[in-house]
Amino acid sequence: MILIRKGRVVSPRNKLSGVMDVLIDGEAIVKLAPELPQYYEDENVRIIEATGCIVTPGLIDIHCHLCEPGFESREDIASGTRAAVRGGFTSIACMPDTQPKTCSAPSVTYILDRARRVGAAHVFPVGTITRYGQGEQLAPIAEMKMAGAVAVSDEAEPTADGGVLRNALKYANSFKMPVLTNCLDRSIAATGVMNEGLVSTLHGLMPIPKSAEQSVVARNVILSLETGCPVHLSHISTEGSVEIVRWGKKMGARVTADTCPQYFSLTEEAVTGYNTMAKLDPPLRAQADVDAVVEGLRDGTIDIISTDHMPCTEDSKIAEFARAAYGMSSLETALAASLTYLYHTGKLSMGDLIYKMTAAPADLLQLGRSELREGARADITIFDPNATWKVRREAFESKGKNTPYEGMELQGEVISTIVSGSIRVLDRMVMM
Amino acid sequence: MITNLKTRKDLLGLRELPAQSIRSILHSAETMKFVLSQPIKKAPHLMGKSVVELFVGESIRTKLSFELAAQYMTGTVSTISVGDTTRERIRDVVTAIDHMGADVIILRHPFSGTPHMIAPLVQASIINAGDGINEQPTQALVDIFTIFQKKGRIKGLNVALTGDILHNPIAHSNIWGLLKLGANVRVAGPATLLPAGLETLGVQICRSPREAVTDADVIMSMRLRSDAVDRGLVPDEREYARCFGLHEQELTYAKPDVIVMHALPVRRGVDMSGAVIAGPNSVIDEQVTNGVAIKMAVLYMFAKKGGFYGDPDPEGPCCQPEK
Repeated sequence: MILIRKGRVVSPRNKLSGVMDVLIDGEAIVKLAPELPQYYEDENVRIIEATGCIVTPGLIDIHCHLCEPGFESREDIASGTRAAVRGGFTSIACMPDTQPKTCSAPSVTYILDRARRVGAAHVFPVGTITRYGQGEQLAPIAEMKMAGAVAVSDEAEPTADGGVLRNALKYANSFKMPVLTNCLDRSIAATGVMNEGLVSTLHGLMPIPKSAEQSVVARNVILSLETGCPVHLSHISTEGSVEIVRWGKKMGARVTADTCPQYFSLTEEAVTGYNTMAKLDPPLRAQADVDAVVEGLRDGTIDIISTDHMPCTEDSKIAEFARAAYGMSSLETALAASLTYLYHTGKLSMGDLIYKMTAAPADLLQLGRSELREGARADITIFDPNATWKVRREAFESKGKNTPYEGMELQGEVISTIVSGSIRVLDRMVMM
Repeated sequence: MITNLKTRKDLLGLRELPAQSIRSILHSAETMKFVLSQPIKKAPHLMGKSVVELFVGESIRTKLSFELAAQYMTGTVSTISVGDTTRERIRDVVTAIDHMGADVIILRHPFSGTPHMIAPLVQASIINAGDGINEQPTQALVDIFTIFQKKGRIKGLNVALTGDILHNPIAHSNIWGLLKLGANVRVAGPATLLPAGLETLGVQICRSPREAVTDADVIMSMRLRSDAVDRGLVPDEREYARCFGLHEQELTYAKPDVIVMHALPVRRGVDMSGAVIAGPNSVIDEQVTNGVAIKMAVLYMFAKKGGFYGDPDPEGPCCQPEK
């Protein structure tokens, strides 16, 4: 048995907030009360002191890249899930841009099997929307769901064909399979490698106009409105996208959206000096976009905070900017960056922030209620919201050491992570 | 106001080069131009120095002018030209050249920012001879030197850049350099070929070459990227030439003593008409001569391992203090 003592429990789903003791037996939470002194001296109970810490349901990431099978030099399920628990995530949904693509029931089964053997966190595979992810015919969405996939996504290659996506939304909806869309029009982005603006001009880097994202956001919202089928918009990053989603929700479209900490904490200025660590997809935007994304999170336009964890090899980042890989390794910084830039700045309350990283993602992927209560599965994250730490990439559990936060101070540090009643992180150390 | 002069190792672009350093290079180029005009073109400035040119992609004039500049100054010069570096990483190649004892590495590369990435990794001075669409600082120094020789000043001059501004590194370097030296910079080109945000730097965006060249002291025509039509950026070269090329007719709106420049290779009848190229206002041939002088100045100043030679004469004619 494990007793988490004197932490401030924040479980927004069931509106639980206050200093409490949490007792875990086996895989479940068995007792949750302001004080459970009868267990303090019990030899069979392992005590985790959580004074001054926040105790929440385990964080859920709907969008990360585990790169296995196929790109194990970047990340694999073992290292990716270790990074997840280090960052406080107990459940992660991995994108289908593997090799081969996660586009069939056997490939879903393979990931689940590997995760059961080596995973430190729960892994939920996401399949492709179209066959082989090629954007032309539908993938076997129902079979993948039966095999255990929780959603489909066109993360690897955005569905350029609106007709194909329209059919996919209708078909997937009949199986209650969420569709996560990567909003990027490659014909508009063309050869661009960073956000269009003064910084791209000053660096002589080919620009990616914001319309490359916004036009697809608009199309997908309208497809959802017309078909009545839900659509999820992944990692939106511009002022225009937020505005379109806000409009869609007002019109009654069943749209949900997520963004990532990088899009409310950094701007395109981070690229200055050809910093390939800040080469992301979608690209880092301007300050006005950052402000709009924060406002979108505040007013509920953006439902979820995801990580878009994209580990890259060292070699693929130490390269000419145009040739360097896109993405950042973000599972281990996402919570801290969110706390630093949303909670500590007073933009979002702790409850709202945790909701967007637990209950809201659980709803989207139908993973249960994601709350702390007696009888619930013991997926728990314990973090010190005030501890400051300096990001050091070599300390990452992930194989991907690529982060634009290198050397920055973030406020909020994960102390312990418990997955199904097993301690995966104890006092900042991964136990697996 | 001498910033960083003694410690600057590399010439990466005019965006990061202080105005004072630009003036120093122009000043030195005047001396070099004198050397060039002598019957025996030999100076000892690069004696015992090793210069290596690494060109990824095409170049005729830049490569040759650097080579001649080094030889006129008694330096050792070697040239490597490769079509592509997909087989080997560029930083490995440059590091190897560095270990072979090069004092200066002149680098041309198809991707923006490559010299910036490499400079901190090597001891040799890196001279950017064109990085993708980003900058071509030595050519812009040539252009600015030519303007200075013709007009005696840069400050307050109306300089019009016409054509493909987006894809032309020479345009970018010229804009950064000319703005620093106080020129009024205007650009005109198809909206598809103008980079974002220039107006926030004080560059005037014009709708047509005619508007841009009105009352201009200097006109620079920028070469149209060869695949601009195929990539759907302009409809065809005929229409481009008509709407954005330079013709004698446009020149009538400029000041009578306007100088017309092009960094070569020029697309005759597209960038500008044959009559303008050969016309009395054209200083294109002089730019070529000045090209060697500027490269001699640049090599002289950056050839000392670990540092710019500094300012030979801070009070010289090109070195008015900054405001």
